[in-house]
Amino acid sequence: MSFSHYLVDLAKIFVSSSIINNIILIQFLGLCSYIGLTDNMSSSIGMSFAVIFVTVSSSILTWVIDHWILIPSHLQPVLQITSFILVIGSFVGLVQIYLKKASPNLYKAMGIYLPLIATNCIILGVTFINSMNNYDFIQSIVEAIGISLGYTLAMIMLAGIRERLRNSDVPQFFKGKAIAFMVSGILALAFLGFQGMIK
Amino acid sequence: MKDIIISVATLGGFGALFGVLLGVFNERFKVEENPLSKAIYDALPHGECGACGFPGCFPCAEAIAENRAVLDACTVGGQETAKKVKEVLENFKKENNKQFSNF
Repeated sequence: MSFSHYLVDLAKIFVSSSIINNIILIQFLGLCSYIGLTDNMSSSIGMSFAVIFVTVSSSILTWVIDHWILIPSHLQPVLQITSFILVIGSFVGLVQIYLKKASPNLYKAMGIYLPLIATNCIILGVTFINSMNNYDFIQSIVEAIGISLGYTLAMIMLAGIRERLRNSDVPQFFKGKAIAFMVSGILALAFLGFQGMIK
Repeated sequence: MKDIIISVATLGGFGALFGVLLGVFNERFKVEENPLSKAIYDALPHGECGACGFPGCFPCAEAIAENRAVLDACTVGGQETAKKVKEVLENFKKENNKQFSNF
């Protein structure tokens, strides 16, 4: 495969992972922080940065573990989940310690959702997608960046809409989380329009 | 046998590596914490169950220290823990009074 083909392939992976197969709105993974943190903009942006850091760094390290240790020793089916979760959990711990020092207010606003990144299905999902599709090193980094930017896009869209909804006249039964679910359903319908963009 | 050795070495090695890394990071980014909430935390049962409504034992201890929660907020510990927490609070008050009486 020539170099220009390879670049086109990377672009395809990026667009497909960030928009066409958007991790939240099309694949419905990692919805707990999506609904839980989008009631204000700053905490959803902070969460998005935490997810970008953890996703990219853990996909780099899990690729190395997968291709240098697990596949040569034929232990991939046994050890994959355990070793991947070990890596992800450690990175989440690093983010938590750093954020506690760097911005205590954001740390308080995120509350339980920050340690819950460790069990967020997005991160483990990315590492498994990389491993299932046999991506090489650069492809798996691009996939991780694409998926976490898609997450950021969905978070910021819903946070903006919910901040405006706070000042608008919502029927009493739909206030709070109910209207957030409806809005995200409509957003998901809109994202279905991207389907079939890449052949 | 070889598989077991490889898996133990892999997980143990990475576990030790990350443990050291987290320990160093924790020392480097240390946050000054309220000594009262630390003392209350030591009195709690450390189950991290979340039955009190806070995400863990330390947030619960912080809430008790800042008067945002009642003394027997820990439902699992019950009366015993509430008694211990009360003792901690009283000791803390006594020590602080000593400090202030020096002025």
